[in-house]
Amino acid sequence: MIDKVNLLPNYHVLHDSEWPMLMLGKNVLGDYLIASFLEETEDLGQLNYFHVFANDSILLAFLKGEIAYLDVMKQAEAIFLVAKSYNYTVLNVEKIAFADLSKDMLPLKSSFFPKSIPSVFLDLEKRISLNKMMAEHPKKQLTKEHGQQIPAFH
Amino acid sequence: MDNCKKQLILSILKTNVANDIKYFLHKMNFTNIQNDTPSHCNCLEKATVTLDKQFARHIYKPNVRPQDFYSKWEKWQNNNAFPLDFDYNDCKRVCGNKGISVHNWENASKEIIINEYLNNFKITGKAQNSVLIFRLRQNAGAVVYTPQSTNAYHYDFYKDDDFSLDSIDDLEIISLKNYLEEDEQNDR
Repeated sequence: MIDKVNLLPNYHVLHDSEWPMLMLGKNVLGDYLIASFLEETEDLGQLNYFHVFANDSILLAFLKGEIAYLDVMKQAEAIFLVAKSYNYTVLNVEKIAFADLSKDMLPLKSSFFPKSIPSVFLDLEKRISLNKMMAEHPKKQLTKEHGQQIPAFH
Repeated sequence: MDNCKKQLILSILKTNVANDIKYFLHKMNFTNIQNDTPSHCNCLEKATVTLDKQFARHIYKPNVRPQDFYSKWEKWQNNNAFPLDFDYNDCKRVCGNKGISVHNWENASKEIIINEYLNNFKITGKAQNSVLIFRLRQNAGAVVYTPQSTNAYHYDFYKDDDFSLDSIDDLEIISLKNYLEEDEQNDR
């Protein structure tokens, strides 16, 4: 489960502060996910993050500034609460439903992406257009790389 | 007063200030900064004692705690959790993590700093919800000007070995909630 939820090391920090606030990357299955900083628990020496799996169109809409991060979480396929040590080693993973999140754990309504879209995310756009083409022309075969789906988490 | 006299007075004042800075730096101890730092890295090379500036730093709760002034290096060290790929020969990285990020709080910078902290708060919705404004006292430590691409007011603050919350003065805590729209304020 940790492998499916964790970011591969080549993730991008979209917004940085003392600790990375927003990261975009892929898991071992090639699915995009966003990791967002929730809190630091100094007594335990832990950083708590949300790892959020959403479909490509939603992620792209967020990166383009069309929707807030709160909306990404609302529409997410899966949300995980991930406890990490200060060196980002994953200590614990817990799947959590959006409806079970307390109000003070949620991003604000105005949590829009603070920067312009980096070129690396053009890959997302490519995937979306390929998926659209697949839907319109189902007989066309797409490679595995192009057709990744969000995995089922149990 | 003619220009020559003005220049002379200014020059004396500047010399006095420089001497004061050297005096205060000389009186302080930075063993914690120098320990474990590679010999080719001098984090304090451009450090100055800055008593006349106000600084801002995000804090996690509406009250200031000693933990708010722990550097990342201290957190890594205390928890035996240095990043696995950490390059100990990278002076910029070593010094950057031994210092504590602060911003020069002045009229021209207030909006930029608040917006930067507000962006963090909007994402977390919880952590980093307050900003501490403070001034350094004589033996608090030294700062190095380290402007960033998105924020020209950034400094690294290096604590004196005996730093405590008593080393800072003129404290003010700003709640970032005050900068949210009314409906969002009610949400928190």
